[in-house]
Amino acid sequence: MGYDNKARIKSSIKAIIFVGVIYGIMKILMLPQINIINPFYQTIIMKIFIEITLALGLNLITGITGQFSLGHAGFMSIGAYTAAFIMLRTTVNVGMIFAATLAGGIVAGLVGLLIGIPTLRLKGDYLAIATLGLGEIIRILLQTTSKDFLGGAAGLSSIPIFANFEGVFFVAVICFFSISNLMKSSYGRALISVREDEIASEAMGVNVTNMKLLAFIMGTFFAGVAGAMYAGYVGFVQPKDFGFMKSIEILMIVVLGGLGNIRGTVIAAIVLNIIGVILQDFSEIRMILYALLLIIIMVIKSGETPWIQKLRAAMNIKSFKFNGKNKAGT
Amino acid sequence: MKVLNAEHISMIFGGLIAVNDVTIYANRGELLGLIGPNGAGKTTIFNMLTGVYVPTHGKISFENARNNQLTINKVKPYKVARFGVSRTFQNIRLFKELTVLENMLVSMHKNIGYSIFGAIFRTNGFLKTEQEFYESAIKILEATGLDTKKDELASNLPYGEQRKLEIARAIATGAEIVFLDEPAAGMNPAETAELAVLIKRLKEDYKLTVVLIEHDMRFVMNLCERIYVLDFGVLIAEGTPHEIKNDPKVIKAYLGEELQ
Ligand SMILES: Nc1ncnc2c1ncn2[C@@H]1O[C@H](COP(=O)(O)OP(=O)(O)OP(=O)(O)O)[C@@H](O)[C@H]1O
Ligand SMILES: [Mg+2]
Repeated sequence: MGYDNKARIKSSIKAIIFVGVIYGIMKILMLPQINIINPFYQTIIMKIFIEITLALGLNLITGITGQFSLGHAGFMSIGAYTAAFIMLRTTVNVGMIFAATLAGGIVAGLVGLLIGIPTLRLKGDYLAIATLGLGEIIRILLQTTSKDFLGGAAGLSSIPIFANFEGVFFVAVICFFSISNLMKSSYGRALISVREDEIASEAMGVNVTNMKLLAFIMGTFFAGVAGAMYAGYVGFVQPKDFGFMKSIEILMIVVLGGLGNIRGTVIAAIVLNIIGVILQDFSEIRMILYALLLIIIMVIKSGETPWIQKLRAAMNIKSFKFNGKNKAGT
Repeated sequence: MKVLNAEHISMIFGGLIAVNDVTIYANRGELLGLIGPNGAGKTTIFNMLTGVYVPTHGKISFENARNNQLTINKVKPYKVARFGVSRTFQNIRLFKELTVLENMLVSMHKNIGYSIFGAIFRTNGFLKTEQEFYESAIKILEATGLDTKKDELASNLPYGEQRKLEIARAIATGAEIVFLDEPAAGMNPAETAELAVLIKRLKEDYKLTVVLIEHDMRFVMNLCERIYVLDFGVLIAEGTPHEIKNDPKVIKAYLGEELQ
């Protein structure tokens, strides 16, 4: 089908060259002698890659599989705290960094599984409310922990700085290719079929519950890994860093980049962070702007009033429906 | 040999008895019709037979070519599908944002021969399965006349072809029994005639047992070997097209004078 061994080798080589070139260019620009990407820009780039990882995971859950989640920051915090907890108690070496990051992802993915089993039965708005609540519960639970365990409201500080540019960059790259390769497989088609029509998907033999869980586990795993990178790069974590607004910020990237569009997510993460830098002195205005943008995009993408439908048709915009509007079997 | 056996099934929604003590069966390779006025409970029967609804009363069982038995009592629809039972929908339910080919491939996902890691790392198992899926999907698309449109989005197909794609997608599950819910709805007479030929051919080629719901009486009478008639949830007649056409109860409840 145009995807044989030769195509496989070709696309792998293309991907490696692409990643290598981007990495090389950025490394050169970061050289102190050149200093085009100065330390200030470096912090922004680190943040962009972490957010790319977060948003790709959420896109898998919400954009590709159609399961509206508003608790992504909660899973990020689980990864961040897990990795921080480990790194505060061990020596810093490559092996431990790798293990702590992976542990962050695995713990977040496991919590994702436990939470997903009951909540993914819910549809559309109900699922959004449930995940929102669960994100907040995770945050509040972290606040109530003791000082020597997870630091309570003050959080954990003096975490060894274990995430450098390479770590953050390659995590994002791995996340990108994992999800985009998955999308080009039977799993990807099955995930989209769940979004498009759960009832038809199930009638064609797809185990819909399993597919939703797959998306949720993988998405929350990457949220955890991104959280670990965040902890290892900032050096301290506090429950309030992972509130509802953080989830909205990630959702914003996914929606702006196009629900289900993986490359769009990457571009949106970059664009939104640049806007963020420009508006950094007006952080309230920024959040209002985000919220407004979010509302406008959602109305245009999912609105069902005739003039919105006309607008969509005129501008050739694809509509998007979250799961939950399917009436049984007619 | 019976491949489908539904005994005394009823479906009650709140106070409404949508299907009332219906017993139907299908022999292997049969082409059955299920007819009746609007709201008679036809789609509801399909929903019970495919596991979407759990019957309030009664028992449904299937037998496949390997002589395995499946009694569906609270069996999830995907398990019913995996047993070899598939369907189309009265209101088309294609995966709109997927291409024609991808719609077909979703039906084969249940036979996937590689893991998530196989997909991410593009293993040989991945290539092999994808190649096999592709070949069998194309074969069915060719038989349906949709192969030239394989890369179009399902939502861009004309209505009649969307209905055909739903049939092709149901067959792609490897089903032995397919339920077609008003396959000719919205088609013009020429398309309907063509569809009848197509269904007959697919039934022979893929050794299917077909049960179809349809309001187009000429279509049903020409195509079906045996017909069940439903009215207000109750089975009022069963027989060959000839018998049904001349059954006074059926004429009174549904056919009217038109076929006299
Ligand atoms: N999920 C449901 N909840 C409540 N009532 C239902 C449900 N599904 C169907 N019904 C009712 O059951 C009755 C039979 O509906 P069904 O869709 O099976 O009819 P039908 O024979 O397929 O009609 P048509 O020819 O119009 O498609 C109708 O009165 C319908 O309103
Ligand atoms: Mg119906």
